Amino acid sequence: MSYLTVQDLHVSYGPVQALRGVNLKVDEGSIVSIIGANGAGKTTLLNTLSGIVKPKSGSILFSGKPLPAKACNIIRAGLAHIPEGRKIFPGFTIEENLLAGAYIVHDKKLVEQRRDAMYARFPILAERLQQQAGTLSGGEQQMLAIARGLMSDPGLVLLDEPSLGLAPLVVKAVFELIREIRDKGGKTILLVEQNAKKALALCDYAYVLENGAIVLEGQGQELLSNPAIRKAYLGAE
Amino acid sequence: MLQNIFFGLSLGAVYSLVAVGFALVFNILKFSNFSHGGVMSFTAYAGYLAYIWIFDGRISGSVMFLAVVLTAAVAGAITAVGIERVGFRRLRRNQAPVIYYFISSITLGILLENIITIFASSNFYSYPVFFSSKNIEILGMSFSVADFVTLLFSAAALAILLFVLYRTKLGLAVRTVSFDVNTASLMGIDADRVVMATFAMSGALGGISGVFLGMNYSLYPQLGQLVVKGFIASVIGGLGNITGAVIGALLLGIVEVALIGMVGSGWMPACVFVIMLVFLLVRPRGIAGVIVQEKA
Repeated sequence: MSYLTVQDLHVSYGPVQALRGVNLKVDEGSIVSIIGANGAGKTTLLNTLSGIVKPKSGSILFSGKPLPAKACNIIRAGLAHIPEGRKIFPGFTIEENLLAGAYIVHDKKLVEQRRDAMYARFPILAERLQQQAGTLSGGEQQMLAIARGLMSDPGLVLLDEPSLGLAPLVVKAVFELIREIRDKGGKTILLVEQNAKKALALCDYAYVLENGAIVLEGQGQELLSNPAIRKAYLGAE
Repeated sequence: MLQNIFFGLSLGAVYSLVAVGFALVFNILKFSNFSHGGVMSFTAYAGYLAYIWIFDGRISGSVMFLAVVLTAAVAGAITAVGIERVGFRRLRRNQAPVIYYFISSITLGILLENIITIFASSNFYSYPVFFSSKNIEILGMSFSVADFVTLLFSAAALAILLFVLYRTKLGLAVRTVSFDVNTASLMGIDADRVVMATFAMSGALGGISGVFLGMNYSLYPQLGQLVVKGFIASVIGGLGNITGAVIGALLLGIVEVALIGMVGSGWMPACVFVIMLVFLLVRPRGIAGVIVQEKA
């Protein structure tokens, strides 16, 4: 029994089919990535998992149970979504952003503990806790978005394009952080990325999404050496 | 001079209640909610009815005043929540363009006005005089008690609102939803409930301002059209900005009183609209409009 099981998932935006029969599995404690070009349906897939987009048909089982119907209850089931474009709250202070991430946690002491743990891990955020989040650099905003996503202590973290628009050195730090969240934090991670090379090198298992369907799957290293993948996604001849 | 400024502040305080009620909804759904005027008319009458049917003869003076204001605030909260259900929820489900909300809000405002006209006809009613001693003397100048109470009460209502917005979890949820509904729901925040709570707060403020307007002027079904004052204050202060709305409203009150002294009450409204137009053209983000740019 996998931690997350998606079966025959179909999603449409009006007449446009965004996902056509997606099947995938995520084992507990693994890092699974989904790679694919722009418009392949990667973000739609994550938005469907977190309840923002409603599927037309298909099933999603998380820990063997269907997810709650209302989007706002998905996080209560233990699934946190760190959205594309970070979507931090720019007018909030850094502290308020973290508190928003812990909205479902009612124990004030626990919230403070987790917040302090985030500050310990991200000293750059601790230095500026009363600063408006919109004034942070892109990389710092991504760190804040990840920290905010971890405040509810989810079992499964959905990460959408964490490397988008970041400098190479920062991208490296973000990917190291993702590995750390799994290794030290014990979280399961479903990662959507355009940076196929980095994503495949990091993950245990990967799916390739094209035009709303999975066209290829396999272990990360295996796909890295697959000639078709190298040609289409890694820019090799 | 000082007396005039004080009178202007007290007038501005009522406008600030209107403007903030207006700004709350703008903040979260990004449209100018003109149904707020209907809520104000409705609650002004609700307070008046509570006075003649329930409270008259039982209590008097400042206790009566409190009872009437409280009734109006509750009535306003309920009405505004009802308006959200009837007029806006379906639009939100369908992710309708903002202009639909705007038109729906104007329609609902006029509808409420017309319903009130059916029952109250177009007659003018007036609130009782709540405060017996009309003036208090400070440093040789006399200030009206009613103005004093208006100022105090508005300040208290706004203080409570700011506390809720910036120091409670509900406030955090409201501010989160006003940034982005989808991201808010990823945090586990139920947008439907938050929108409802926002309308309730806005309606309660509308109720309190309805009573004050009823006391200052008299009761007539179009009383709620004074929502325009709140709208002007919001534009001057920066649409959707709560602090800006308060500053804009206080300024508007003082400017109105000053203009009456300078150009007379006939020309005053025209001048106010010219000021508003200048703001829209020259500084559309208002006085307090510091927009934080989201970095890509």
